[in-house]
Amino acid sequence: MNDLKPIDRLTEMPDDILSFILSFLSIRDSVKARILSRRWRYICPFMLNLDFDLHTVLRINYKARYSNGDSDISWEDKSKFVTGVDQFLELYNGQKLLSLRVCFCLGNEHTGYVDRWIRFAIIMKTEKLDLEFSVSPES
Amino acid sequence: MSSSLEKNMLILRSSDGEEFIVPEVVAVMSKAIKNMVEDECASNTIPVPNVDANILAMVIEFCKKHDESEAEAASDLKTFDSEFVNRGQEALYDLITAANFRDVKELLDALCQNVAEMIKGKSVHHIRIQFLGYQLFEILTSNFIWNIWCDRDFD
Repeated sequence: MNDLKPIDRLTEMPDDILSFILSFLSIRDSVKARILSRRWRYICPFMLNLDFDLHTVLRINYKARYSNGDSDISWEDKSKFVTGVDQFLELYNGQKLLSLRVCFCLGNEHTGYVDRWIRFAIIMKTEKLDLEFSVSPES
Repeated sequence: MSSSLEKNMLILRSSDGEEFIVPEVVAVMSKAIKNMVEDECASNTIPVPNVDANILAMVIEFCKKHDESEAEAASDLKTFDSEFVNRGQEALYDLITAANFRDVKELLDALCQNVAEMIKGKSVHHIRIQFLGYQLFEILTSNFIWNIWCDRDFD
């Protein structure tokens, strides 16, 4: 048992322990941890509140990046954001969700994504759904 | 069982046969042991399978401290916890396994939070080095699905 590598020891933990460990992390950090191994990819953190915005998904600080106020989020960042949220929700297998918040500048071209997220919120019986289609400077 | 055993004391026997005399209030911080005691299916000696003496001693140390320090300042306990969980990964995983099977919630919280701290704020690259050492390539390709989330970390 002792000559197993640390990753094997960590990975042999029961799913609920791995979920519990991930639940102490931010969304971004939990995703990074899930890259560690095949097994971890499908481990879902116990997170009752999901919050997707410029910072939690792309780790962009709005003020630092868009300080002059008139710049738009790049097409590339928008595409990363919607794909990232989609991926996260696709592999989300929690039982219940208290709140889902998406705060990002999304337009008509993203209706397909937004519809999917709303459907997800309904399926998860989410109590609070918060969609803001602009990037607020506070985020 | 040993008639000299004081009241309200229990004997815990590790998987490798070592016995620890522990106050009942400390032992029942393990919910699994608490259930056994409440169901009266425990004699004075309670076997703790899958947990060796080394790990069991650590678990008891943790529970004793938490039992004693209920009145103490929460910050002292926090300091104790952070020192307690500051161990090599091997011991950490053994302790998590023990805390999970024996259902010692406070210990499990402290340990899992500590593993999370090892991940927190680190780049994918650093997490890999920390937990994997060299087994990088298979993992890179097997998890391409998440790359959107992480490419900034390769900066």
